Amino acid sequence: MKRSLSLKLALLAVAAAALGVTAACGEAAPAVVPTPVVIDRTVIVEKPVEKIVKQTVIVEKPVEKIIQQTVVVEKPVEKIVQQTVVVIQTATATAVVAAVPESQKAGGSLKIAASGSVQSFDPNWTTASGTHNVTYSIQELLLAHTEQYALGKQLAESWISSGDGKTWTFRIRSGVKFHDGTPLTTKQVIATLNRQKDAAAVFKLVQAQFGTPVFTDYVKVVDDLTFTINLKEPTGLVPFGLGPQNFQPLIQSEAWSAVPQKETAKGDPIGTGPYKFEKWTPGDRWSMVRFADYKASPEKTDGAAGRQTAYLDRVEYIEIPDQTTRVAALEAGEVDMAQEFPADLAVRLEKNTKIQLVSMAPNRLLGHFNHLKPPFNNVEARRAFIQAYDNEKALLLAAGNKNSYRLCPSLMQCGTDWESSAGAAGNYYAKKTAESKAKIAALGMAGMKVRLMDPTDRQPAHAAAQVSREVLADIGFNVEFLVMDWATMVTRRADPELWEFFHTWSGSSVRTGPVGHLAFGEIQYNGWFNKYQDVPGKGRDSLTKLAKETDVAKQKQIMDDFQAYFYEDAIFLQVGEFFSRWAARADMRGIVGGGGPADQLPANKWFQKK
Amino acid sequence: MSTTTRNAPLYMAPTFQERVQRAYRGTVHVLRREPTVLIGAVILLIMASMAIFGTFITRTDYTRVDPINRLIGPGVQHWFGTDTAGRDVFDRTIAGARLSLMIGFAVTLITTMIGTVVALIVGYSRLLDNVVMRFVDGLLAFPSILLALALIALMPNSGIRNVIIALSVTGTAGKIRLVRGAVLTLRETAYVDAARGMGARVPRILMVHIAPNTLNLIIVQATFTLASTILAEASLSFLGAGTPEYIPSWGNIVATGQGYVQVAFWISFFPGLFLTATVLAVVLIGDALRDYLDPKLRGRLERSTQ
Amino acid sequence: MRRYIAQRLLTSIPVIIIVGIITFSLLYIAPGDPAAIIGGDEATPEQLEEIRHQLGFDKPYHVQLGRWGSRMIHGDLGTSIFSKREITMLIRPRIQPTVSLGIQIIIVSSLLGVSLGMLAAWKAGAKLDRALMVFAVIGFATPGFWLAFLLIWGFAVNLNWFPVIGYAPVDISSLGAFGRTLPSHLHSMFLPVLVNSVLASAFISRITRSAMLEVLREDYVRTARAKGLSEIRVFLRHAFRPAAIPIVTVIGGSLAGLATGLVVTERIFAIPGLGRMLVEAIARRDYPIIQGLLMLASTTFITINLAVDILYAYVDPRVRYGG
Repeated sequence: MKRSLSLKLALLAVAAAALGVTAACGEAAPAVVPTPVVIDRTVIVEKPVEKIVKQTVIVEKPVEKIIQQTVVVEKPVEKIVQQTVVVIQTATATAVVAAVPESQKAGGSLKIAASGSVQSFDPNWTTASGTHNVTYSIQELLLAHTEQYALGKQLAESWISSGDGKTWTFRIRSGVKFHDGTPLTTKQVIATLNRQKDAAAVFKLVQAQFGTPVFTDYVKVVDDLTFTINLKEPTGLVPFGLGPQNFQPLIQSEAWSAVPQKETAKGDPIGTGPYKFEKWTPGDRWSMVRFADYKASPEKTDGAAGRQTAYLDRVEYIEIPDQTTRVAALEAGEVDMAQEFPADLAVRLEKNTKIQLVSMAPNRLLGHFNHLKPPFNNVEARRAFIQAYDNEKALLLAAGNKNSYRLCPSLMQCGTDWESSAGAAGNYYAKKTAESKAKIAALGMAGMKVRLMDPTDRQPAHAAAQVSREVLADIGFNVEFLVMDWATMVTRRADPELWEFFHTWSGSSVRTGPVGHLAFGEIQYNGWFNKYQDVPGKGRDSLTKLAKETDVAKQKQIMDDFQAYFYEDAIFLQVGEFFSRWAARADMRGIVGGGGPADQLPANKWFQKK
Repeated sequence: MSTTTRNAPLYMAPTFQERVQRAYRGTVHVLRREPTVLIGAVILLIMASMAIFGTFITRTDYTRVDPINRLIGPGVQHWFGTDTAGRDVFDRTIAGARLSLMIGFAVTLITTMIGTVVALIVGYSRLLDNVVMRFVDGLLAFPSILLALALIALMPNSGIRNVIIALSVTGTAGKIRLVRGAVLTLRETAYVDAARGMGARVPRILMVHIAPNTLNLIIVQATFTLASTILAEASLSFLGAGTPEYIPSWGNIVATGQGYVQVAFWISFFPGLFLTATVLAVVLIGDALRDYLDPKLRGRLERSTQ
Repeated sequence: MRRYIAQRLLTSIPVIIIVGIITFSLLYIAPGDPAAIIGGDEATPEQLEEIRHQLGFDKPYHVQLGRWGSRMIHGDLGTSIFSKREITMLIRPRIQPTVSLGIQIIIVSSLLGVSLGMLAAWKAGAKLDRALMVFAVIGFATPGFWLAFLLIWGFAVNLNWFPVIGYAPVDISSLGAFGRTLPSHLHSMFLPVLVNSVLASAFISRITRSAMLEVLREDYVRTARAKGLSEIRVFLRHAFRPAAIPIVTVIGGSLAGLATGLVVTERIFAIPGLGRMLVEAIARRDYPIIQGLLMLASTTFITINLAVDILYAYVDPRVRYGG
């Protein structure tokens, strides 16, 4: 009950914010609720809105989505990004000087060493990054992310809201064809939305809170290229419901839309995207080829939105779960691009002139308590552990070298305006081992069993788990070290009977402002796998206040207060921030860099011809 | 068993003293003729003392990560360098010797004891033989590493105990088949017939006339079991099915260094070298033992899975 | 002969049944509720009950065993817990790498092992013989994963002759495609095949040598020599053929040992075969896949041994009548 209240409040904040963004997109309807204040606040509110869109991503599978999660590069990242940006800029500069005509960009094939494995190509069934890697190129959204993570047009041509704000009319581009030749009409769009209506988090939220309850009333076909969304209460959130999110409505063929969302669709994925699915060898590789009849958007390219061009003839993803092997394959020239790997390995690539390195936005490393079971249903035990922690050791081991991590006690991303050290003194990186050990003994918990899950195939979490094993043992717990792979851990953490502590890491999308904060599952009452109980109830109060507050200074104050409370109630272990990299052949062009939504997508990339 | 003269069988197994004397003379003889055995014995002795006195040799807490000192090359401070988590590879290799030899000897002991007892019993009972041997055939039909991996997957957590159980289950079947074969042959020999004719009962025949005569075979086979167990444990650990990373095993140390071939060859190189040397030592000793104790065994011993 | 084959076939059936019972029981005693694993996080108690009922998990052991057995006979290996796909579907693309690797290893190690063994027997007692036998002992003692590390270090990292990892599939849809894809396939498989072949040939050479020496002591070899036949002729014609029988048996029997090599090398060289699939399934505790692969591996192993036995009987009539 309480949880849904805070969701509702969050939603209200989002509603206000969304108006700002839609206005900013320039394509918004004649201002539905024309409050100048909202427009004024565009800059600040714009990003948080996106955060809530991505929030579900974090809640479900934080790690797998990292690639997509990266957000607008903020100040602190610049330092790390710089070298890369420079490389890319010179590259682009040369390209501009040479004035490469479009025709000369075309051709070649791209091999990508992929980090995630693929179990299904149905993006509406799974949120696995491996699947999304490829389906973003094959299937398209009505609205996609721009470079700044705002909403931009992809299959949608325009949208307009009625005077009372209750009817939103969307028009899709004409002449778009599926890979099998079927023309795109509202038929496939509606079928996809229908399939996703209970899974796509934002779509579901908007309908539940503001929309008409029956799907066929909520989404109505007008003609082949036009449909409306009908509300009972006005909101600016409607476009976000059609945009990127978990289980996002990537428009697919009718054959796939007919499959229930809980089942994975079989057969080749068909879409309207720049690339056409070619073949899949499970456990090994999957590939796609340029779609000759692709109809690109007439809009300017901006992130994943606007004009997308497939220059490469063929793209092949090779599944290489081991990060060092991915890098080795890139060095050996067996692949042209290697997905996420730790900075440790990047050092080796820095000297290699044949390879360009690209940074990803900072990730936050964290550790979660099981708030339902002893010993960590006891705040004293949680605090004792946090105060004994050696954050730097865990970060260094996770990141690999000194330049690739930073100690950061702040719940919001360090280096942003929202950074705070409230409540950190004596709690964050305090290394009070002896004191904590005495505390645990006094609590009568010495020798109590703590089951610590260690996902050995995910380096950052694996590294932190090794440090946690030592800290837990040092303060007197009897650690049962459960070695498993990431997939198993994700399954096990859903059952609070099976564990006491585990590590994970998350991208920065929930960490750049108040709305992200509101949507941040791990700190919500009973909201995430950690089942945070918020016994004093202060957390809920503070989040409710934040949802209502519109003044920036006051928001900051509320968030600082919350952070102090976060340390007092030891909600989870904040370890710090680290930076991962990805890399590509030096002659690859078209990389924007800086952690944008399309950074690693094959569209718009091409190889410099010799 | 040594002093009974009443009801003395026509053939009598050598006494314990005789056995020791024979073993001593044999050892001297073998060492003189086959210098390779000396090499094997020396290596094994070094490894065993490392395993036993390891705690006096190691200078760091090799179970704890120390990322500030990661990937340091071999030198005065760290003889074999440090690994990806900054742990001393020399210390971990020493500690790995203990784990390898402990698991090796434990599994060899368990499989040999259970295998011999079961083989003696089934070798003398046709009914049991049919039942047990079908089951043994079934177990032997699995490639043993796969069965060991599957058994480990069944057990919660991870640790030394699981590895010992899995390798014992897969190793016992082969033992039973081998010793049973010898029992069946011995059962038909003249002196067993004679003992039977003189009214000796089955347990006595088994204990006095058959068991001692399978000893040579068992000893020789035990050395090969030891060698292949050490290899199997290393393979399991390498595949991530052995002990967790903080408990060093030669297999898992090599696994941590696998991805760092280009930057830190020492992580995988040294523990692998120690592992190979140990197995080599055991095999050399086993070969010599076989040649000395029972030349006829040549070729009959099948290579157990690695 | 036909009778012997029939008899051998009949004796393999109980073995396969026992293998099946063991494999099934492994899953049966596996910890955790399989219905909960299959149902996932969001399954309600009613849904779990439904799954249990559908899959027969509420039935007694022997009924479940019977059902499982009949599914296996019909070639239905079940559904993966993790990916929720049919295991036969998941296995299919994994067969080529493993089978190709296995065949190449058998061919290369047999050729290498037999020729080295014959060379050693030819020069019995000489320096070359001793050197070869040292190689054989070291080959037995070297763990495959370490040899792989050394070879990657030498050939792939320092010399850059072969890819560090990766698998180039061979296209067998047509002869032309086969010819086109074969070179890159063999190139990508070179190191994995080499690692396993070096180790396996060490053992084969040892067996070959002793088999040859045994035959060379036989009277008819002496007779052949006395007749003044050239040494090479005696060696290849009169000695090798009888010696081949134990050698073939040994190669057949060492295939189980090959399983370790396949699992380990597929992991190291990132070859998407059945071995890697098994290791992944074990990390995920995906029991149906573990079961399916165990059944597949053991029945393959039984079949090969059966084939070797029959071959043996064909070559050596004493086996047929003696048994």
